[in-house]
Amino acid sequence: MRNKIFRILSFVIILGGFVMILKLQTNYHKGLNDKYPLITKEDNLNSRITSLNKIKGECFIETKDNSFGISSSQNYDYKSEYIHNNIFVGDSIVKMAGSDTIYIYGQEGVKYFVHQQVINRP
Amino acid sequence: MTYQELGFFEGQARQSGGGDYRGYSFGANSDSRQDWAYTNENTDFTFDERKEYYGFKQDYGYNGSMVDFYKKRNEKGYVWIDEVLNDKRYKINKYVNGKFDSSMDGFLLVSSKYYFTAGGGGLTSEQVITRLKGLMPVAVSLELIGSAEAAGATSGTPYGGILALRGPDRLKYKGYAAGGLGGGFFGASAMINPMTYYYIGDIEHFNLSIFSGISGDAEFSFGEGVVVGANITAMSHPRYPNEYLIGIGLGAGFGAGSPFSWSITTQGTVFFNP
Repeated sequence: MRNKIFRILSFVIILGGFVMILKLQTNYHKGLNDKYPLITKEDNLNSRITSLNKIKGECFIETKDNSFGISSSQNYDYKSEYIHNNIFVGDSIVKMAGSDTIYIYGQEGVKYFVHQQVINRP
Repeated sequence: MTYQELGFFEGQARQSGGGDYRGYSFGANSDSRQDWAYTNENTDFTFDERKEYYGFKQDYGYNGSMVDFYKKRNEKGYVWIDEVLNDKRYKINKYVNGKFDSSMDGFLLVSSKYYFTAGGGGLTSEQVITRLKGLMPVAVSLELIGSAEAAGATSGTPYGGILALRGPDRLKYKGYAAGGLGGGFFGASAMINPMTYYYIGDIEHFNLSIFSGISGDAEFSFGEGVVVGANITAMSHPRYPNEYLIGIGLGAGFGAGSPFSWSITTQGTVFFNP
């Protein structure tokens, strides 16, 4: 009898935990999106990154002037093609208004990505 | 607002157009929407904002789908897509009551809701194909799961691999590890667990980077000797919180332990960043 109760209880707890984790995660992501709106084609950026939070390939960035987000972008010209593996605190990020191209000036020189696109795929 | 609520019926449109959208009248059942504006012929433009009517990205943007826009404030117009140039760009031609609006020197696209040229049983073959694609998994994975149960249960996936089938990372492979805690009985088991993943949202937003970090997961394994298990996973997209990666799988393997281990073990799992 105890075994049966334990079985049912563990099932309920884990399933409830599953839903709760997903809910918490979703709410956390919604908060991030409010704080770090995704850059648009019209945005003009030329700032040094002061804070950077990378979550599952998404970049949530703070500069001296503002906070914004960059979504997954890939350039196969680089060893790691994902933008989140090529951007660090202290790097400068440049984007001209009207363009989707993002330039990152870091220790390894300048790297570029087209926002939300995959380029130079072999 | 649905396509029907706008007063449009594909059958009428096709008949009046004779198989060619150009120049037919949309206004059979509409009231104040007779004077639609349209683009200059062969104008290319990019939609800034798109919404999906049925929830599948593949459902919009096909040839012949309709977009609404505002020529001026409070002056709503509709255009038809003639050709899909790529994912975001469409070639639009003028199709409004057979008239050309010479004042239409470019336009401001405010909205781009899509309305389907066919609904219910009247799906075009292209729509049927794209919907079938929406049901196909975006990725598959294979996990080797080891678990031990002694009132509390632990599990570990020393190695798993996921292969993306669709999206920007199509045909790319990524290895990962996972571990979990849960509740169970006395025993130990090892299991091979193939999984398939479905992306609820825009497939272009799915890439293998999403498959990492903390996720909700539940695993149920049964038995001793031969072990079978079921596994479900869900992860939300950090940038698009209402989009989810859902994984389901069934596993089989070997177990050892006391007779008490013929019982369910449930575990929650954390996927480690590979």
